[in-house]
Amino acid sequence: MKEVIRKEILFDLAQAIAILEQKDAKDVEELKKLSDHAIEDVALHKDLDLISITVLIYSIYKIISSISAEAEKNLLAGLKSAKNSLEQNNLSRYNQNIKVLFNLVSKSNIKVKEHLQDVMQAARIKKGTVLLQKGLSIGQAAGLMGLSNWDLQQYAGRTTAIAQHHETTSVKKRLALALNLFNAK
Amino acid sequence: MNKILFFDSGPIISLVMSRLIWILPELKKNYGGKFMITPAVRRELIERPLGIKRFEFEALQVMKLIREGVLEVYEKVPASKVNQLETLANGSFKIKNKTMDVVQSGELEIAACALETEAEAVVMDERTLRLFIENNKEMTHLLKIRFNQEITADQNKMNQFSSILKSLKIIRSVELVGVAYQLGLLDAYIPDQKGGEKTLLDAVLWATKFNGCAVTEPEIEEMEKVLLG
Repeated sequence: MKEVIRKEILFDLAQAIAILEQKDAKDVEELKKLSDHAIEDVALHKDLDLISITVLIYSIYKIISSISAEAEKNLLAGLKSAKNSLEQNNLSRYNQNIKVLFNLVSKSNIKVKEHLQDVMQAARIKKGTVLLQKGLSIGQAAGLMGLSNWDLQQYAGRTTAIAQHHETTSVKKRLALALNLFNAK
Repeated sequence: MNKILFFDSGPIISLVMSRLIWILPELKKNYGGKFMITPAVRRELIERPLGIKRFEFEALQVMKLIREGVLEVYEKVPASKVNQLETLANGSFKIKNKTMDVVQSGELEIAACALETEAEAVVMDERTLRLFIENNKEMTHLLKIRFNQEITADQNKMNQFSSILKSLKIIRSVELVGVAYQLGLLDAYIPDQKGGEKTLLDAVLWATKFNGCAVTEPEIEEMEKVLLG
């Protein structure tokens, strides 16, 4: 793992731990802000460990308000272990910690699963949509988040993410071109 | 110019998801030329969704179009041109002194193949690459307002990229739907009520937008004005 990535992940883990430890009413929104911060680094570094931690934090954000105190305690302990492992540069233990954390999220997620697809898939889509908002192409955003264009395009169309820009070619001109190509004037 | 249209995966996905993919063979008859895709687009439209239960049938619909010759796969992708475009596009923006990839090589295959074959146009719903080709200043603006970190843009590389692709004409799935409406392909759906044509046009244009075509609300309104006369 590159040093710059290690530092970013340590920052994200420390922030996530601080947010969960404070148990502030604003916990949930702070976790979302943290995952939004992390997604910029995903766009920049295209690193799987960063993607993983971003998805993890967003997944925790999605489930935190509906899990038991014990599950929350386990998540916090897991995050601390992951941070310790990474501080000691013990990558195999860090990867194991992250795997355990994802398992904890999955187990805490039965309620969400009943209604939606797996929360982590939803987190990938959500973060992919944020990458689109940042200006990355659908292919690039989907590729980074391990999604297909089908997954992302369906959701992108339902957000304002892909229509917040100024088109230079007027729609009249583009439509005229299309009508002309198909002899449909 | 040759009677060829190159399709990115986006417009096909938009049309399949909008249950409008059936207009493609009809449009092709009217066009009188070839509808082409690249191997990367085929992978995204077929191989990838075949492994995802939720999109398996969608993949079969596209496979049928290829089998019936509506869509043809252009295999002679000019790899060196794709690499050149990728180097320029993904070397144009830096954050913290590190370049940031904004487009995928698969997306650039379409542009490179369209140039190589002197195609009449490309059909592309994807906003990022379209902006890059048509208005790279807007692309820079978009990234600068969206990222919370300082973005450095290499205008020279961006201009080189735009210059290579400046002859490329781009339409989107929403324009294809507009053409289908104009050709009367959608007439069977006009509801028997006052303003039925407007209702139909509004419904199909918004369906295309909601299924991923990057089109703005004012653009849809403008299209309706033009098409409804």
